[in-house]
Parts: sequence; structure tokens; C-alpha cells
Amino acid sequence: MSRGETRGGYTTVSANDVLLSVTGLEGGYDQVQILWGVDLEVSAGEMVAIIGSNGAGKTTFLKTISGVVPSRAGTIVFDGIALEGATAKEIVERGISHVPEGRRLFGPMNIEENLLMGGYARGLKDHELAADLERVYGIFPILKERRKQLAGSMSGGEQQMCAIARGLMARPRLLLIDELSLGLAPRLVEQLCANLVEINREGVAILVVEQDVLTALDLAERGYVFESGRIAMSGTSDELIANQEVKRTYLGI
Amino acid sequence: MFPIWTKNQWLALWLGIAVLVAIPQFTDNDGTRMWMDILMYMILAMSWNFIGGLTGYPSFATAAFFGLGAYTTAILMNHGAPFLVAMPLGGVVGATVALLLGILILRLRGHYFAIATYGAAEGLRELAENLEITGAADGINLPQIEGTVDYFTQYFYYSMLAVAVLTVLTVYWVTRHRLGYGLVAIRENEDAAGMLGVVATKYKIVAFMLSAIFPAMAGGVYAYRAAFVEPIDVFDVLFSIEAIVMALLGGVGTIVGPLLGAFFLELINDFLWSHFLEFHTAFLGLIMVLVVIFTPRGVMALVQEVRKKGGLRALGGILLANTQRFKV
Repeated sequence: MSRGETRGGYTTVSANDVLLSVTGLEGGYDQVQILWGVDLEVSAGEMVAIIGSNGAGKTTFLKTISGVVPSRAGTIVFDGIALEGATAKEIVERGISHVPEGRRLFGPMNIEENLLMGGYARGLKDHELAADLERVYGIFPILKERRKQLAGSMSGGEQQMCAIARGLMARPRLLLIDELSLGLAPRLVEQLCANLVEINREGVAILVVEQDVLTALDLAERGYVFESGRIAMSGTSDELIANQEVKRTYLGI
Repeated sequence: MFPIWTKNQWLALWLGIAVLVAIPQFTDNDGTRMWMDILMYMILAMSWNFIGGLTGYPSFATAAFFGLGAYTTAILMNHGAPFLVAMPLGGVVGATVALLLGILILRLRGHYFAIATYGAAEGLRELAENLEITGAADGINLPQIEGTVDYFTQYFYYSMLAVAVLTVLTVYWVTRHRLGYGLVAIRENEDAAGMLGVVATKYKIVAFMLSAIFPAMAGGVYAYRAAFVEPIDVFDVLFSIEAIVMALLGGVGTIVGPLLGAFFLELINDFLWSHFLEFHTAFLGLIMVLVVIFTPRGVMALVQEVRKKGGLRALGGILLANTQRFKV
């Protein structure tokens, strides 16, 4: 697999190279199996959406990719290297960042400290961290304004920005985002989508779980529909939006 | 990159140390003894704060490490080791036991962890009561220090002060280091911390070892001063509980909180001890209840809130508001 040039500080792979390839993935918690053989691909620099109803296994899928939940069967190949059995730390170091559902910021830390935690796994020198901070502040200027504010005291939208920025601090090549718009006002969702497009343009591939199907398919080039731990459908966003099944189940049309 | 202490905090630290160094010159031996007790509880409370405050794992093992340090010092000194070798080795033993114990029980969370640490402390006490090397329930004597009463008092005061300064410097180092931020991240959300690449198991074990090493050294000073150790005394669960109460009183997870908590509670303790011997533990319980009801996040948080809401006039309102969080 060829490594591409560095753009805007993020190492990118030339287009159409498969960055993440998941086949037959099974996983779950203790006695409960949630994922029953998921196949999914994300190309370098691509933006892909996962949609599906509650309990379809979307969150578990992301957690299995990032190593928080162990996989039981199947393969996860990232940039040509198998990730099954790798620890969460190793996976972050390889270039996958997970922005968890509900943001999960560290409330008593201020914004800047939260962001620094994002660069944690890489063990960087201070001046490297400072450069990365400036880069994410460039994308989210409001975070710079409020950098000394406690994360717990911000609005939901600002917290989501902080969570995404924290994910970016790990210099990922693939950003996993769980429930981008949950509980946020439409205007903020628009703003966040614009931010994601900007991040994506810098070469970071994004796999986003989003309950609002229109937002998801508007944002992403391709999408996967999860149902009961399996992929029920996949295709380009246009194909999915035009699909009768998707219309009936998720859009109520 | 992580924020360091401000100049004022540094200044306060060195000023505090300077005052403590000078204290024996300004008070009698009894006063120096009381300050030594305050220092000891500061060590216990600050140490508990590593695992209980920063990391959010409520440990009752302080007494276990205190006792381990006391016994290690006693046994080594009876075999001819000088105090200044035996006491630090007590710290090493405490940290080693914390390492092994941590591997076993740090996968437990919340109440289960608390119970396991309490069990470990009680288990060690039982061991000490039954092993030959610890003199069983009779305890063991240590060599007596020689010299005048002044020398005796100041020797132990300065030994305790040395351990306390070491503890404060470690607190300083940890809170400005990645380690401290990793611990707070674990407390706030262990899963999210893991996603960012914080290896929680490793961090928790380090925090547990930090919570062990200084109480063990303090136990060594305590043992040499008493020239006698017995299980029921040095493995007393009150050491664990007082450390927790002091940290709670001052402010859990803060830097200065445990110091203030230890200072005030030990002052109160000393007063009650000398005036109401019978009731002194009952008062301790009362204070605990009042703290939890009126200022569950500690005095430090209370001070901050009073400042934010405009002075002492707001105090009553804040205290009342705090009690409301228990209403269902």
C-alpha cells in the first residue's frame, strides 16, 4: 500500500486505496452477541455513513474497530495491517480515533486539557502538541476562544466540537464519530457538518454513525444500513436515498 | 504542555515548607508532637488522593500500607539496619505489595474495589497477629532512640516532615505530568480514556503504588517513635478512614484540599481528644456527616463557590442548596 504525501499535517493515502477493510466481523458483550458478520470498507480520504435503528449494532461496531470491545470472529485490516487483538492504545497509534457517543469529555478539565488528552497516546513533545493544538483551533476557532473554560460547562454543540477536536489531536487517518447530531440544534448540526467536510478535505477519512438519515447521506459519499448486527444494504448516498426500503423505514415517506 | 502550578502556588509551597521547618523553634515539645501528627495525616490524606481522589477508586488500604511500613521498619531495625535505611525500605515494601494487590483488585470498580482494599488491610492485620516474624499479637519492640527529649521530638518531627515534603513534591510532579491527567481521565470516564490510548490498568496500578509508598514510610517513622508496633495499632482501619475524611473535608481530587483537611481535622481531633476523650470518635462521625450533607465536594469547592457568588453572605444559601441534592 502506497503512502501518499503529507497534506496539512495529516498523512494521506492516495485516493481509492482501501484504508479500512472489515470482513465477517462478529462481536458483542459477554453473553450477548451483537454483530453477526459485518463487511465494510472505507477508502483513504473517504467519508462514509452508517445508519440504522437503535440497537442495530452501530455503536458496538465502532467500539470493536477501536478495540474497546473485543472482536470474536472476522478480520479488521487497517492500512494493510490486521488489527484484531490490538489494544485500544495501539489502534489509536496506528491512526484510528474514536469520538464516542455522548461526547464523553472530561468535565473538570478545561477545553485545552481535553484536547491535550487527545494527543495523549502519541507521547509527543510539547512543541508538537502546540502545533497540533493550533491546527485544530484553526478548524474550531470557538474552542480557542474558550480554551480555559471547563468542558462540562459548555453547550452540547461546543462539546461535540471539542470531542471531535480531541479525536483529531491523535492525528488520525480515520475518524470514527458516533452519533454526530444527537441532541443538537439543526443550526449546530449544519456547522458541525461543515467542519467535518473541512477535516475530510485535509485527507482524514471519516466513518460517521448518524441517526438522522438525511444529514448522514447528505454528508457522506457512501452509506451502510445496519440491521440487527448485519449490513442490510449499502451503496452511494444517492442510491440509498432513492431506495424504497430506506424511504419507508427511515424517512417515513 | 499541561499547565504547571502558578508562581503563587509554588511560593505558597516553599513558604509552607519554611514555616514547617521553623515550627519546633516556636513551640514546645507537645506542640511539635501535634504538628508531627498533622504532618502524618497530611501524608495519609495526600496519598489517598492519588487513588481515591484523582483516579476515583475509593481505597481503604491506607492502614494496610501504614502497617506494612511500620512492621518492615521494626523488623529491619531489629536486624541492625539503621532507621534511614529501614524506613525508605518500608516504603518500597508498601509499594511492592500495592503493585501485587493492584494487579489483583484494580479490575474491580466502585464498592467492590473499596471492599477488596478493606479486606486486604484486615487480612494483613490477621497475618501480623499470627506470624512469628511480626511477634504475633504481642507485637515487637524497636531499638530506642537515644538523646534528650528535645532531640527525640525534633528527630521524628523532621523525619515526618521529610516524608511529607516528598509527598507534596510527588503530588506536584504527578499533577503537572501526563500521569495526573491520565488518572483524572480514568476517573471521569474510563472507557473514553481508553479510546484515547490511556492504558488504564497501568495508570491505576501506578496510582495505587503512589498511595502506598508514603503512608508506609510514615508508618516507619511512627513505629520508630513509639519503639513498639502491634497489629491492632498500626493496621487500625481508622488510619484509612481518617485519610478519606480529611480528603473529603478539604476537597477530593484537589491539590491543597487534603492538606487543609488534614490540618483542620487534626486540630479538631487534638482539641476533642484532650477535652472529650470519650466522645472524640463520635465527633469525628458527626463531622463526616456534616461534610457530606453540607459540602459534599469539600471545603475547597465551597470556597470557590462562595467567591463566585459574592462573598460570605451567599454561604448559607450555598450550604442549603448542597443539602438539596439528596432530595429525591
